[in-house]
Amino acid sequence: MESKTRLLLMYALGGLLALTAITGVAALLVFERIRIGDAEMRDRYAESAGCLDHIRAGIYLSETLAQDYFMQPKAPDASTLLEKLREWEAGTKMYLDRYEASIPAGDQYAVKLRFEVFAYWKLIDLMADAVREHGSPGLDVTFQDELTQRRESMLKIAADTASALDREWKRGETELKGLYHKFRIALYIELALVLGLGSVLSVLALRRMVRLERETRALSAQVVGAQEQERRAIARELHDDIGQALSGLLLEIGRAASAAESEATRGRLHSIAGSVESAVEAVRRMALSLRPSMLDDLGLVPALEWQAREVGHRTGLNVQVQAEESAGELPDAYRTCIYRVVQEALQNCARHAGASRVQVALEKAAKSVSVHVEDDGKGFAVSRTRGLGLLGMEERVAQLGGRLRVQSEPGRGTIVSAELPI
Amino acid sequence: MNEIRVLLADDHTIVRSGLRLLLEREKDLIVVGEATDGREAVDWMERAGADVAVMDVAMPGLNGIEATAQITRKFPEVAIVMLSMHSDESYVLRCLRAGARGYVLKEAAESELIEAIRAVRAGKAFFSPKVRRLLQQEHVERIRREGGVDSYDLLTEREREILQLIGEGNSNKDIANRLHLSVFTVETHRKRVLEKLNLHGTADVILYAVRKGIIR
Repeated sequence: MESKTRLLLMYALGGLLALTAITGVAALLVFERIRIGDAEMRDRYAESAGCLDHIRAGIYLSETLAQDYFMQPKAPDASTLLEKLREWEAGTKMYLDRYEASIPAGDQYAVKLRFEVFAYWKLIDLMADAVREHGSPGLDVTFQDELTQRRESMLKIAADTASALDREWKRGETELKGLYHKFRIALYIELALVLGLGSVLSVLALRRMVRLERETRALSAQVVGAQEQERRAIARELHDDIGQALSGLLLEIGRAASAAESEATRGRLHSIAGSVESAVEAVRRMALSLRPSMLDDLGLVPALEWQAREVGHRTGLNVQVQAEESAGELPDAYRTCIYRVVQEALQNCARHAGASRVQVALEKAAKSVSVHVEDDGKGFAVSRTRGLGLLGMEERVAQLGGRLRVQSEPGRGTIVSAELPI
Repeated sequence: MNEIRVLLADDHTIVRSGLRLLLEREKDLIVVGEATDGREAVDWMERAGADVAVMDVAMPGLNGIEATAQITRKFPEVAIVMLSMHSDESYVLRCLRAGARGYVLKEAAESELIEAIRAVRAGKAFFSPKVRRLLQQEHVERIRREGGVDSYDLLTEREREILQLIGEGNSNKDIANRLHLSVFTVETHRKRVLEKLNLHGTADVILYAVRKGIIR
């Protein structure tokens, strides 16, 4: 079950990442294609339209030049005119080639245009030949009419071609627009997909995290609870079973000693009694270190006072307990929690703080109970030190819905406080 | 010699039978009953009564300290000796506050219990020597650690005398008779003593006297 969800989450996360990457790359590609397509189309249109303009201008001007030349072929500048005419012919044909290159091959307008342009120049050639042979083309009105007609029809074709080009341009624009539109929709869909999947994934991951956290907390509560239970059971067993058996034994030994005939036997029995007494002492110490019986027999405050005395004996610390006896009247879990927090804090004072005085204060209010352990030691930087059994204390306190606070600064002593709601 | 009727209260059979054998060797001590927890001990006092109860501290249900408190409240004439595994002063103080006048370590019961029973029957306090020694050590150490003034030095001769007499279990009237003072004067001295030593009642005075080695 566990590993299944984990696998699922991993796949989903991978999928999400892949989807995001694909979407991004696809978007870039399509965008680039549109951009290039747009630029190409623009260039091609500019080229085609420019060529067409040149062709049209060429036709116009060459017709005027041709008229002038045919009117007065004997004029002194006639040969210059003819030369110019030839130049225009070459120019126009060059633009025609370029125009054809700029559009798709086999365009029907282009074919017509080429036919007309060549027919036009053919006509001018024919007329020029006739002028050279007969010297008087002015008489030949039909030639001139023909020329004008040719020009008109060619210009018309050029105009048609231009408008066809325009239409083509518009069609391209629309096509691009459609492409862009489709791309946008696809992008939206992909975005929505990523967002949706991401949200689902986040919710799943979050829920899993919360559950894991809850489970971890429950587990650590169980561990702490079981440990306390175990300690209590062992302490009781040591104390009650072994301790009482030894006490009974001592009574027996005493009785045997007073009934003994010889001094030697009495002496031996007394030394046995001495050994049993040390065993009783050892058992008591062990039981107390596991869980002080005061906590169950006498209550929290006597247990704290005992703890204070013990630490005083062991370390020379001066530990003061300030508490009303009634402040310790709490459910078992609270008594244990507070006792262990104080125990841990005192241990820290003795081991790390270099303190000489410690104040333990227990206060019970209407809806909460709080305990403060304040020392005059060297303190520490709270933000950097998280060891010192603080985590264990925090855990215990959090289990009862309380809050543990550690206030300390290097050189300023330390205050450990726990507040538990009741 | 007056006979002393004794109730034994302990949840461990082996301890009870050992104690019974121990006490029955003495002509003046009669074990009139046994109780396996505090509740039974209180019931016994209500039904049959006894002069002295030997009470184990830690018993299931109603523990020895609670039972002692109930018995001394209802039957002030009953004297109680606590039997305990603990030499710690938390236990001693709570037992005294509950109204016990004797405190004997189980490990020393064989040699001390009989003396303790007779002492409390006579209205005196009794503590196992080991307990007394530990309490005194603790007291000395504490004064040294805290580095303050020993408030005992603040008492006058007369107040010290009265402190000792209270610690030995005498009533104001007894003290007045012995010192040829009025009960009122004794009461005034008593109040001064408690105030100077920051104590709150006879139990505290007895414990203090033991700590100081004033009484044994």
